[in-house]
Amino acid sequence: MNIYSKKALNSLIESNEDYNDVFVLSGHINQSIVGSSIKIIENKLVELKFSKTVVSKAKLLGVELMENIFKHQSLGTEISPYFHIAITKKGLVMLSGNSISYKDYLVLHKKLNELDLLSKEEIKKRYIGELTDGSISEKGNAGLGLLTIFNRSNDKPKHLLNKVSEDEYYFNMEIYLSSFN
Amino acid sequence: MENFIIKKTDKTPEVIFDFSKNSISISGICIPENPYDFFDPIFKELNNLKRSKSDILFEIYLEYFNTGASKCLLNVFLEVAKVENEFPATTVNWIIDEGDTELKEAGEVFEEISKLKFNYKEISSN
Repeated sequence: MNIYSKKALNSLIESNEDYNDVFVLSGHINQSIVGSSIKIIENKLVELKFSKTVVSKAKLLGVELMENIFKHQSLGTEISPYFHIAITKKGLVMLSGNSISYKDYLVLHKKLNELDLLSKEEIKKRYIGELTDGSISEKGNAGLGLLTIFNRSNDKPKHLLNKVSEDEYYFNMEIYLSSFN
Repeated sequence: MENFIIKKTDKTPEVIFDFSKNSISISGICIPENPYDFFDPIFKELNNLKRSKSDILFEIYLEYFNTGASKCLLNVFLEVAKVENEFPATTVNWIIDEGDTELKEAGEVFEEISKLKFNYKEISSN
């Protein structure tokens, strides 16, 4: 675990006396890992008797978070990405983190500031607008990942951008999915 | 005309075009690495369905999907919706597991944008 994921985890632990891991992933993430991770997460959440709705939400959000990591993470970084699901006092939360370039930091910082100012209804409206009018890049990105995460989360995601160096930042995100069933 | 089938993989759904029923079914996981490449043959076969001049039936049962797939799937619905006056009874059966409001809401977004008639069918997984 790197210092940035530790900081995010400590922040989560400090805000909750009880904290239980559901799923932890750290290291290189690719599309195959996404699929197999989602299967493990689904089985675990079903075992823990979360509702169909929460299990679906976890799968849909998990895909977005993990795909965002492997599509946008910096190449050549020594800091591993992570993806983590835990049960806290508040309920089911997802945490993710990955290294990004300075160029991506500027774009992300601006997008996050804009989304933070929007209400739930405004986020949904923007999501529908982007889904309708947006295009797909040659890499298969719809550019909707962050907006989808904000739209599907129960509360506004918490996020943190830590500067690693002049060319590298580390992006942490914490998403609340549901209260415990 | 023979049915057109794309077999299921661990990242992409099974797709079946049944030209005798003028229907298309899509079921499974939909997280293609390149959604454009995956959906390209689907758009091509959709033209064959449209040429029949009969109403189209969609049967969609997805476990989960990424945003690239969302965008392509919406484009499939919009492709039919833009000639809806030719296929006024086109229907989308959006199939979900019983109690899954998250995937139901995902269908409602497609319905809102495409203006196609969606039927929400819940199935018991027990």
